Amino acid sequence: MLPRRRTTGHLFLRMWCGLVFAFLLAPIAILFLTSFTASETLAFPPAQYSVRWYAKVLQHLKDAPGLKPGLTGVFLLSLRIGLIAAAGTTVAGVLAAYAMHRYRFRGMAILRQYFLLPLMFPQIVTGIALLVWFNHLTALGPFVRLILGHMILTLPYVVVTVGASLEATGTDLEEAAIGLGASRLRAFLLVTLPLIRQGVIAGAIFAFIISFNAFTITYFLYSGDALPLPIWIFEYMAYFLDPTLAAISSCLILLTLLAMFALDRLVGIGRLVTR
Amino acid sequence: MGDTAEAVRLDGITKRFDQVIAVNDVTLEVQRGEFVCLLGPSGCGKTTTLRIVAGFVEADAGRLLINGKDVSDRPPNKRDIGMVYQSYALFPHLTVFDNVAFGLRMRRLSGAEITERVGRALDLVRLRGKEERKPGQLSGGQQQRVALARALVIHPTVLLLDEPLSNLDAKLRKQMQLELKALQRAIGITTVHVTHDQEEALTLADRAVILNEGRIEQIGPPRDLYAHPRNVFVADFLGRANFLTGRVTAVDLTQGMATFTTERKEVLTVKGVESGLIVGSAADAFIRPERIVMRLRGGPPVENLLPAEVVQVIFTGSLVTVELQTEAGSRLFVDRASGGPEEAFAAGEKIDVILPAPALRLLDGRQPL
Repeated sequence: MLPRRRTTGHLFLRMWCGLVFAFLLAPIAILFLTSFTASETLAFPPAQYSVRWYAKVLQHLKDAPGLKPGLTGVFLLSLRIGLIAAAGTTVAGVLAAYAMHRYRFRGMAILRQYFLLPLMFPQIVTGIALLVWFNHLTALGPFVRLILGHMILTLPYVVVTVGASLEATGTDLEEAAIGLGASRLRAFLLVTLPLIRQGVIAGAIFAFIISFNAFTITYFLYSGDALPLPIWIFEYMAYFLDPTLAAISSCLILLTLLAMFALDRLVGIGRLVTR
Repeated sequence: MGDTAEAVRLDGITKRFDQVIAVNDVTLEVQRGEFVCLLGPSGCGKTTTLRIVAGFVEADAGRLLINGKDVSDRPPNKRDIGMVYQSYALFPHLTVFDNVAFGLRMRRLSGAEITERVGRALDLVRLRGKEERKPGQLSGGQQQRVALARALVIHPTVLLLDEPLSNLDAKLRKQMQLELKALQRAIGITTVHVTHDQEEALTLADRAVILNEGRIEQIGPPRDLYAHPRNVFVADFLGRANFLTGRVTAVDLTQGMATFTTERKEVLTVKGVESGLIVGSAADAFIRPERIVMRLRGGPPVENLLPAEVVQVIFTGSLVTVELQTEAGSRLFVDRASGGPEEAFAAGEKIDVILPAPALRLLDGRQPL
């Protein structure tokens, strides 16, 4: 490490960093402040402050019969899709990444790229493709369609994070376990899996977040019976462009922060990022 | 345990990677309790050979017998081997105890027996008291000893060591070599050790196997290989050596003597030659640097005396190396224990060099470059 020096250049660097952080945080801060406006529009800065739009959010929590589903149900649906898709994607992604790490076979480079395709394709293309494809699979309900679509979307993230963890772990350790008498399965479960745990968890978290936030692909797959949160917000915006949106968004930000805090307590996000 | 004498037998083992032959028709028997070093430059196939014995690489041809049983088709976890890696390959998420206990747990031994055997293994490598440490909290030398304990605790038929000391610093490596040798002798375990460090092989091995481009060049006790290398590769790889290129100009097999003339027309007598030497054939005369005699000018005439000039004297600690050039132009290196009169030689000083006939050996001519 070089010694830190207090120079003019150093000062400018600090100011520059401060500006970048401010620029990144500003939209969120503005949204948060706007949610407390007393007026009917999304104007910033608010002339007067109130919590009336949060009261409106509370009203939307329950289903409005015949009109549209309530926020509670919509939120829980998104949560369920996200958790199931993340779980499915994590299992599939770990298996795929492991196979590509452990075995050298012809066409592997192509396969590796193939797994990343959903990341490269515009989501709208994947969305249209899935819409056409699922029209032939009429047996699948909208809930299953959404989960399958989100699994396709999130698989690359798990393959990449788990692949990186496997790369860092190498093959010596698993080999050593087998040399000591472990079967391949036990060597994987007792040695490799604990060592790539952080990559697996990181991949699963990514998968959940991507699924929870996914709008484009979801737009092609949802139905009135299965309407996830991003679609609900979008539809609401199409009819009413009022500060309720700002209030909902602020609630989501708060929930995200709480979830991150809880996760950090549980598994240590700091360690996830550094490894 | 089988009744056969040898613990491990490789029979015509061959392995190709794409177009490259990594191991070429290797046949080798390792006796029970023997310490065998596979020695050679990088890429000579020594590690591949070891991994074939372990079962992590499948041979294209040949048979592998452990304890007299053909295990060529058995997976590594059914081969009864203990392996130590260059990287140690300790499980970083497990404690020292759990690392050492791993192989015993795979064999489903009782908890009490595991505790007892792990304790004994840790005693053996002097790591009692470190049971609850994680590998990351140990020094390189300690990690190496944990890896050794982990391999030994399962009482394998054969211990396989893949350059286990090469990550240690020079001083610790020396110390560990001696410890490893003492440990191996004490428990009498059959050991196959891979190294590129010829000094390590000389120190440790009962027999060394010199490999080059996938082939065995020579097998034998280190002393034999050092004194009687079969060819230039072995002579050059094992220890330091002086080579003089030339031709065989006369052979007297009744006396076991030959006359050798260097390309610079220096005539040397060689003793103890074997049959098959052809007059006129190209050859290399070879002599170890410690076997060359130096003396001041003006002594009585003797066999194989070459007038020479000191080029430089290099002090390397316990050894002093004197670089010489004969008047005909051949380069020679002479090693002496430091502290002797040779240290006083000055560059340019004219002396006499004697290559004693019994210390000279003739090897097949080097391949023309």
